[in-house]
Amino acid sequence: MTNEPQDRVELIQGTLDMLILRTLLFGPAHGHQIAKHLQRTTDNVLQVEHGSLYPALHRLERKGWVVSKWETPDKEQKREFKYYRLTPAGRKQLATEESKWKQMAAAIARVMWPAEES
Amino acid sequence: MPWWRRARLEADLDRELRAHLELEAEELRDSGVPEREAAFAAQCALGNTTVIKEEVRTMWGWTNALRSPRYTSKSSTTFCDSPATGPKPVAYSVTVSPGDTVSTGWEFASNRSASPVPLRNDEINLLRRHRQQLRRHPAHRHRHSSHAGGQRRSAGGGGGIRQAAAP
Repeated sequence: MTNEPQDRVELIQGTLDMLILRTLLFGPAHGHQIAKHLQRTTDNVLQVEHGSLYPALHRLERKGWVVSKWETPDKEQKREFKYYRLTPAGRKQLATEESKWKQMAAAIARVMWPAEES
Repeated sequence: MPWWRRARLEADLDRELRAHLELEAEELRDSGVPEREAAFAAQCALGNTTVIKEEVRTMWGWTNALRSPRYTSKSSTTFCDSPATGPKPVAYSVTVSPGDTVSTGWEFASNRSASPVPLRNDEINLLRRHRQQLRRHPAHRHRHSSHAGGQRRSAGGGGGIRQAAAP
């Protein structure tokens, strides 16, 4: 079941890079595939405007965390898409971001639900 | 960066965004959305391509004061939210001092997002330098002397950004 637009939440700044890197852990993907993956896996809760992915992808490429290449999805299709791949540096960055995110989530949880934590 | 490399990157980005739009529209058509609506919905889902390109250029370090996204509409979400009123093309121009305006291009913007944006001091200085360079140019001097300066003078006061409705 998909969420109504009013139930959607804005993505916390800085988390988009981490989500993109995590998506690319499954394998190479182009912008449209990444957008659809984020939409599907979050059940449309996270409001990710497709257009915001491209500046993020180019930023990640500039930092050397992903590399891109024009490729066709399969032999039958002639249309090419720009596929992004995670680099070893990108994997390392993902691990760092994931660890930071866990720490932050735990800290917020301790404030929000102190009784349950103790 | 050499111009040909810039051109290649620009073309690459354009191709990438076009591929995204085509694929999205194709998926929508396959799910039963009529052709024209599919193209519109795909554009809405992607957002304003001008803004996306500007953001990517900023990432490449190519931005300058006049090409800053501050002077373009926020995004096509606004544009897509109100199809009844429709986007209005707005011309953005910057008044450096009474009489000199520099056009910063055209952008589709809703009434909400087309509010004037104050200039920063460094941007005003940049525009002043640009104006001085223009004045030194022989072609500019000739044009001004032939028009006697009358028609190009704006009625406005001091510096600031000016927004004009499209003809």
